[in-house]
Amino acid sequence: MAEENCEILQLDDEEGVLTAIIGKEAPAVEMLKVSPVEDYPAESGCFLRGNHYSPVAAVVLLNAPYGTLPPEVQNAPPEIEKLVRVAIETGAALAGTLQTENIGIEKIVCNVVGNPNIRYLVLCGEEVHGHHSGTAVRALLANGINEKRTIIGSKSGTPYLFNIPLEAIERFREQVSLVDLVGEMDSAVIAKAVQSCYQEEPTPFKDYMLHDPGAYSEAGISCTLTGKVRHPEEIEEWEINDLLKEIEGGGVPVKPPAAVKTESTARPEEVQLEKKGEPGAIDQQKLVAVGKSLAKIAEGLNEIATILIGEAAERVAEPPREERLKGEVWPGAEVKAPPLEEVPQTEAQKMAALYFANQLRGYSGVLAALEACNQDVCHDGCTLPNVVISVIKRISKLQKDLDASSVVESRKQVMIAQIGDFLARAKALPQDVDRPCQKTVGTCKIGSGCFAAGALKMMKLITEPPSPTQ
Amino acid sequence: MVTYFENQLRGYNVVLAALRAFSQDICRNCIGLSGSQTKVIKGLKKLRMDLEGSAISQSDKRQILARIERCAKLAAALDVAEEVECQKTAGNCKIGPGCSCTDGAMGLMKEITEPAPSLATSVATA
Repeated sequence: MAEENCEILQLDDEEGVLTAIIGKEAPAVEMLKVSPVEDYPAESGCFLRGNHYSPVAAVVLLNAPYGTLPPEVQNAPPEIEKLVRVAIETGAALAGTLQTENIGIEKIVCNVVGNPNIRYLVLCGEEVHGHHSGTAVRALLANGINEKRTIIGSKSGTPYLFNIPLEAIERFREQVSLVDLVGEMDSAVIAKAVQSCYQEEPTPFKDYMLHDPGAYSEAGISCTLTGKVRHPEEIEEWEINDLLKEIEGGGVPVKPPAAVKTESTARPEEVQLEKKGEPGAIDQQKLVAVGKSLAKIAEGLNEIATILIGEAAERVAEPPREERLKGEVWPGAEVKAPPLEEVPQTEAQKMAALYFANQLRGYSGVLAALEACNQDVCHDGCTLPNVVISVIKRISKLQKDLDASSVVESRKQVMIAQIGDFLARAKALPQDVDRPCQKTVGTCKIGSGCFAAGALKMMKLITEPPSPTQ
Repeated sequence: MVTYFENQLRGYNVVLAALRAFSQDICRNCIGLSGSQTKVIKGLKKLRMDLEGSAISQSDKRQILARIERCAKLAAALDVAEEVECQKTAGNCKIGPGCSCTDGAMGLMKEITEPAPSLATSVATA
């Protein structure tokens, strides 16, 4: 007697007795999976895209000290790229890197809330020095943001989320659970974490019990960064209130009609891509969106044109910049870097030349600062002359060392000329140490510090290469 | 009260001189200089706001405001490239881990320790 969803796997006929092995297909698990929003993933970035029905996104922290990576990172370090690839190959919907605690997190939020199927965020990789982006993500999910759009409890310097709707932030917090693997660089562990997230049955992984709970109960949110604050790292605490007033005047995210459907899935990889929605409805939406974008562009162009016209009028009225600067605060601060000729050099010669070039770079700043001090009350004090004498001695010593060095002659001459210029500038500054300290006199009230002494301290920042005379 | 504003302006004057010298070097193309310029411009903007909210006399205010404007003009005139990147990353700056602009020049503002920041803020916003 045949039943539904049954099949005969084996049929034997032994001495007139018919034996059949019948397999019954287990009923498929009903799990809610939905289509992401139309523009998913809405934000570009350093990430790879996998199966969008997968319940997991992986974020690999891109640990690189502040300022050591160019703004547009083209290539992540190979060990980080490997983790991203492993996560995608194991079945993540999205996997990418995160460096900054503000724009970076905002992009992640936008891309995650656009896909309600994503229910886990696997956060891994070494914490980002300086940014502390890992702890910022952890804090965002645990605590959210305060009224100043600052992530509560984050150790980061500027954990501001100014460019995305509050609704998206709240959704992000509700939609995903964190699988906290900060510090983990083992690709096998990351793969195991991703794999555990899409299991139908609760699966233990470290301290977590993971399984795919299906899509979030509401439709995805389509949002992109407003771009109102392009450099949140430059925002000062006192600016936030004014900034928020501007932000509040902005629009709300567009919610496309939700195309929610229930699908039967065993593993994310097995799910077929769905068909697109009604073409007529999409076209209408697109038209409205394009119209809005064009209006914004026109508005922006109009503003740029106004600024350019204003600047052009100012330039006509004003003398050239060089002339304007002359006679202002700092006399004789013009320093030109010595032209570098391509002369064959040994490694020792290169290092020696670099040492003297670095020292001269430092002294150009020191001298300019001392000249500014000389325009101030420091002119009548005793510290400026003391520092000036010290600078003259040091530059003279530099000159002697350069003379005796192996630096190629042509470069040496350029540097000697620069040293001559620096010495002349230094000697033009006060050297009378018998003047009274301006703190004692009562004219300098900055505290125990000293601008002139501070200027000389700038030389301590030059730590490489070692002096060739050492 | 006036001392707070005068001290800050004395500091910015020295900082700007140093930054200007560095701007004629490879720092011109550096995010360090660009960031320092932004910090100075914003610092001066804050100083202006505090000055406006302070209780000092109108004549003193005018005088200080003129100095703030002059510094702001100099800060805006710093020669910074449009496209900047860390010159250590670019392989041009080899002075070590320090940065002449962000640590050196900007660090000069740390020489100012009086009036105490809390007092200065309360004075400025009084």
